[in-house]
Amino acid sequence: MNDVPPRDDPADDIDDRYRRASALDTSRPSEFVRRAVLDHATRVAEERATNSDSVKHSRPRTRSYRGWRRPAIVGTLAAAALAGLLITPQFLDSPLPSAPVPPAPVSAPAPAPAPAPAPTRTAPAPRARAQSQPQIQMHVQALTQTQTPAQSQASSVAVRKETDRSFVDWVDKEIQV
Amino acid sequence: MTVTADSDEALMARYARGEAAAFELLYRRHELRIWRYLERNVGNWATADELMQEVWFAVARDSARYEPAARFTTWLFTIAHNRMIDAIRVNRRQTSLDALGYESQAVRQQLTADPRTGPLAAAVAQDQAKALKQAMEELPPEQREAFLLQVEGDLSVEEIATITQSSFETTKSRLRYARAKLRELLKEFA
Repeated sequence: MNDVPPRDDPADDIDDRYRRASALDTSRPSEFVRRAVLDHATRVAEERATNSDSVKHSRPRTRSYRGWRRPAIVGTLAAAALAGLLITPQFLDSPLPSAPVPPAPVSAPAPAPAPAPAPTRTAPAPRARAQSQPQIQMHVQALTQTQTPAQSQASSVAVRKETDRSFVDWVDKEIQV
Repeated sequence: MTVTADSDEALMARYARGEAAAFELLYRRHELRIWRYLERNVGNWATADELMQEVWFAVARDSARYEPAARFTTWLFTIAHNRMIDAIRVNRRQTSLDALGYESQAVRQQLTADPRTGPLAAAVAQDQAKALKQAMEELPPEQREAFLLQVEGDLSVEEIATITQSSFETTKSRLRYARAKLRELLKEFA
């Protein structure tokens, strides 16, 4: 902070004279002004306190908003993963170039027993897999042919069960050989 | 800068946090100094009242932005100076002390005089106060303001120079001239 520099006039008596005369001056700001100023200051302080309170109250609301967001994201991801697990085996079954890939089986409501034989399909040993290419092709062809949109859902499920059973029998036979 | 518990700066910080009582303490502490600075500069009671209200409203409003980098009084008198300059620009000086006349001054003094003092003492005090006001009125505005900022605001030459946007030497010179003239005008009250 700045210090008051030494004045040119030594210990100015005029300042004292001014202060003495000033003290005799009884004029003051009006009481109305004093009241208006202090009322205004109180109002400003109250508004400030109210604003800071509302900020404090709004913070937990933000936290609770964030609180439900995480489970929602996790739930969405879980649902997407489950859907992926249900749909992926059907794509894994039909990557062969010779097989026609109609769009209907993917969009059509998936029959309940479809995912059940999946572990059995992935079982064949490498040796057996090399020999069984025509068999797989035939199986896929049968699957895709039986799942044309023209056929009813019930008949397509029945046909699919039958082909799956024959495919499992064939795999067992191959493994025994 | 040292900020003690009841310093102006500490009171401002307390008010900025919503403590209205701190503002009242601050107001009572500086009320008369600001009032005299304004009233003796504008020479009009009503305008001084209006400016007084504006200055303290501004203090209340801007208290949240106030940072104690400078003394509170420097900030306060800067606000007062700026408000006063604005008012003078808009209105010029509507009524001078002469225009108010001795009678209105006398009526005011009588209304505000302490009843416990005797009539002679009251008359002497009234004369001295009147002489002081007349002396202030006779000073050139720049000298008057510089002098009032120093005696009422207790500000340094540098601070006055900053507030009035003048050089250090100009401010120093104004203060010297103001004192010389006041010494002459108030010599009978020495």
